[in-house]
Amino acid sequence: MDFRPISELERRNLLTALRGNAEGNRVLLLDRRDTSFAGTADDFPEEEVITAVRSVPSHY
Amino acid sequence: MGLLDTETGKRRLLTVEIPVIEKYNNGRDPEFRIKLARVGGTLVMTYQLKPVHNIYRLETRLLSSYPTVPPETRVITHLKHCPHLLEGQTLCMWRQGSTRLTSRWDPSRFTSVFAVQAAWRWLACYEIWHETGDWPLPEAK
Repeated sequence: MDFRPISELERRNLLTALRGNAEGNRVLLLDRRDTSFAGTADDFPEEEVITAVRSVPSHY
Repeated sequence: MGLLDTETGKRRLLTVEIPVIEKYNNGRDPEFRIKLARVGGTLVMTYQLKPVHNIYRLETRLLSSYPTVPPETRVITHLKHCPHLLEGQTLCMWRQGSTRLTSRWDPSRFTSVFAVQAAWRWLACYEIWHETGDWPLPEAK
């Protein structure tokens, strides 16, 4: 795979989103078609959770 | 004994895992859908994730002891060696012996698609680590 690095702005946005998610107060939104990052939200309807990443427990 | 060998396992597969995978796949581009196959006593999910620009191919295995033990996920696409990456590019995602509740897999609450979502978040961390050398989320306890 030819790795394409994320830009500085993308990195900042993703970092903020990941930390908000890890703290349990932000949902990561994914594009339904290709799973790419599509922003964050405070909450998300239960039936649509499949297109979002709640604060999925994990140790990393 | 697991999903394919016991009535409880088959019930879980039919009422929990397959519906949630079908829901995940609904409206998704074909190359990003989860494909499910049986390999011996193991169910193997193969799929692709694209946190930002790069597309990663992954495999999540539901072992015979699933869901009591967490699924195992590995990235098939070549990665640089990084934190939370085990042998065979298996992702280190849950520690059942951890003192921290959020580090443990809970079979009563999680499904195989949770593992896919956790893998997505892991890959997003990897993309940041690739640029900065720092893993963006706190270390395990």
